[in-house]
Amino acid sequence: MGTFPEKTTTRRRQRGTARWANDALVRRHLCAGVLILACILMAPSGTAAVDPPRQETIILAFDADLPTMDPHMHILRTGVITFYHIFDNLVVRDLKTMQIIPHLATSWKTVDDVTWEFTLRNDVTFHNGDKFTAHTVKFNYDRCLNPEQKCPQRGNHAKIKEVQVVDDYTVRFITHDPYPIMLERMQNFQMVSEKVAKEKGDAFMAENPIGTGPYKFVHWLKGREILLERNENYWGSKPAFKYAKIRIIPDKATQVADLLAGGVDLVRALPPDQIEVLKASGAAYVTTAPVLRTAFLQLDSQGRTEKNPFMDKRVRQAVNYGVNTDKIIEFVLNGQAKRTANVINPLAFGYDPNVKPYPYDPEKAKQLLADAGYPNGFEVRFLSTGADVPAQKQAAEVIQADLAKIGVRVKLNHIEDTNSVVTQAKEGKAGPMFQWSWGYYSVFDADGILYDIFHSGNPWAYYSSEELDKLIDEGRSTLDQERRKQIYSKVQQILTEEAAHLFMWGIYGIWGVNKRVEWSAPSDEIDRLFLAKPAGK
Amino acid sequence: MKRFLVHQCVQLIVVCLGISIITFLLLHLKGDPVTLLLPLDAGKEEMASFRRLMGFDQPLYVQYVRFLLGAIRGNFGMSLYMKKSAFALVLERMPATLLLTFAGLFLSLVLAIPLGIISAMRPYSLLDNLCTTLAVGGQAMPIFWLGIMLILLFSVRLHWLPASGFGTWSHLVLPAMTLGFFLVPLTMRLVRSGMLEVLSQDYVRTARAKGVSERDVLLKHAFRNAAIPVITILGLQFGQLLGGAIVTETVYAWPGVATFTVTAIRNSDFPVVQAAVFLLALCIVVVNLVVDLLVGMIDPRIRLEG
Repeated sequence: MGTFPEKTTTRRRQRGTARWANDALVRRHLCAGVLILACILMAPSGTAAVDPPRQETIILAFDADLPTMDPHMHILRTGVITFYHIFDNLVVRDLKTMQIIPHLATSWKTVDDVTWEFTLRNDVTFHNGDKFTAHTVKFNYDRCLNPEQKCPQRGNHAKIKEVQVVDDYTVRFITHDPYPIMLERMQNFQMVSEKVAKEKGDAFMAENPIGTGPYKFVHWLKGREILLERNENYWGSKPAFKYAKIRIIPDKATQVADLLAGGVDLVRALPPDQIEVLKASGAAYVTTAPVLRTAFLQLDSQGRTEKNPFMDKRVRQAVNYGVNTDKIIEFVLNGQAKRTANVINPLAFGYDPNVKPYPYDPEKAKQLLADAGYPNGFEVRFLSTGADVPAQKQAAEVIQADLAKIGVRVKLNHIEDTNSVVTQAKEGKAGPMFQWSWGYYSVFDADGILYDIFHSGNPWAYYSSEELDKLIDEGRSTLDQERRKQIYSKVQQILTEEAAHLFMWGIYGIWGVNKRVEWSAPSDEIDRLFLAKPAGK
Repeated sequence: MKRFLVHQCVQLIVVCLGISIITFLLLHLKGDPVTLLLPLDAGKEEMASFRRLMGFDQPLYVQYVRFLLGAIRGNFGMSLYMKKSAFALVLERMPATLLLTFAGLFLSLVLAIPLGIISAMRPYSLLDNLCTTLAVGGQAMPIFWLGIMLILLFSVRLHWLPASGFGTWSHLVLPAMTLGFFLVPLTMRLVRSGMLEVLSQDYVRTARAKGVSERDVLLKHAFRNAAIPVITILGLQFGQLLGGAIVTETVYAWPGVATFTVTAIRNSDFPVVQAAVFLLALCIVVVNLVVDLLVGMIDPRIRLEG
């Protein structure tokens, strides 16, 4: 750098000087530009957000935002949790007994194998004053079952053929066939206002939820938070906290930090290695409960992806003998899981405790492999992903190490993005071995997993057989619960004997709770903020 | 100057066209865009009807022109996940990301410029070595780790600042520090080396001989000339800042477009990904244009040569 060459630029500088040589003017322009930019960026976007007093608010953290506020147009667990607060269902689950109990419906009876009759409450109104009646129930189910609505929950209720209004507070459901899990499906289906849906339309419903629930909707700041306010006219028990807020915090470490800092009261799906951190903090505590979600490794016994050793039952049995699952539960999960003999969770109706899991026996595993023609073992790809399984990656590494000891050389391919694995699984490309888990759609019944994971023709089914299909169909076609228990016991014996998959465990839900709140973990994984109380009250 | 401006604007248009081609091709990378935009269980008839409706049965260049005209009007289609205009969804989150990025840039300059000047004034001294150590250490720290450490210190231990969220100035401090800190080492070193070079020039010696105060020598004469490469590099680093915003926004639950784009990628929400890539690329191009203009304002030789 230095001085300008004088002769050639003198005239140009003289021309430029008038406009640009004034330093103070340049600085003023720059400062004005920066100020204008700052004002634009800091300007409030959209409506002013309500910020309620912290002591009157209970705050729950979610990993991701919802796509809609319409309770019929999603299939997310976080959606179920949110809409449980704004809307009501005909029936709900009693968290102590885990049985289905009345809610908007006061009672029900089966008229015959395909007809259910429900009597409804007559004192319920929506947050905008609309009355809840039998017509509301009919409208809601018709809306969900209408193919043009493209409701993603339609499959959950497809067994319902027709809903009939008997009188203002009595409604009948006619099913195509006997539908034993009818009540289980109902406890996850929310009632919207017929008048709002018809007059305002789907676009309005997607942003403005109007229900009958214990909380009313206040605002949804996309990507940030959902705020609810207590419904002072609620027909049932009113929540202790006046406000309920759901904050969107994508990172689990930040959720835990915010819990300890007091910015959040409830963190769900806490990693097991954070249990001791919370206990030592003095600011929060841990509450756990066994939940329906069950983890297992799907083995491609049908060769959907490619021909592979798991098509032989002896190989499948070998890997079940070869993994020390109890040790994984003890050391990787800190005891926060329940070993399962197959995929049926102990909480589900039809679970048979007499069917025992595979013991750890690496010598037997090697023998089985030799019998199957693999005396030197084999190499296999394991598609690993979080799949809503706590400490899944660490567990996958231990499984890899255990299988190496019996000669099965696992090529671990870990993908963070579960969606991509789900797509591959649906297309039959996830084999020969991949991590999976199933939440049963909160249906506490063996049918909540058997049909989707094992019935031939279903995209998630990597093991199926004619015998199993017959049993599964029979189990969902009778209302006789004793008969269903026998059927599901037989199914479990087959699944375990056949080593349909590499069986793992029923997951424990782990929640972190701020010490200012009294709250217990729910086994159905639906976090009910309306049951929380300030500590000491 | 006019010629300089025209040249910059022509460059802007050419770059934007290039960005639009890349963004357009995103949907066609896997072959058939219909399989990306429809659910897996969509039937053949539905796919054929959708293909005709969206114009995917037209030649590629016709599809591109249609896409370009739509992009100019802000029409990238509907978000597959949220069923709203993809462009509107991205645009409503853009201010938060830009705020974070500029705040990070501002904080990095507030820290880096004084440190760079001080280092240049006392080269190879203990102070200079301390600043260099800070620079090297800062570059080694991953953004993710730094963010969590700041949260643990200022939110969990001291309760001075919120751990995450958006809405007030206090929410901005930690994310801006986290994002801006990774620029400090580079900026500081640039200021230092620029100042060292300028301070050895004849005109600086002349200014001192004329009795100009040391403050004016440093800030009015030396720093102004040393700032030019710094401004240029910062413009080039703007893209890196936006990339760093992805991690920062995730750590601090900052509701910006960066995390929204990552979520859209996870959900295979291609219209949103296209809109976000296009808009973010446009931001980088505009920032670099502003930098070029700024440098032209500061250094007359550049606009005269341009």
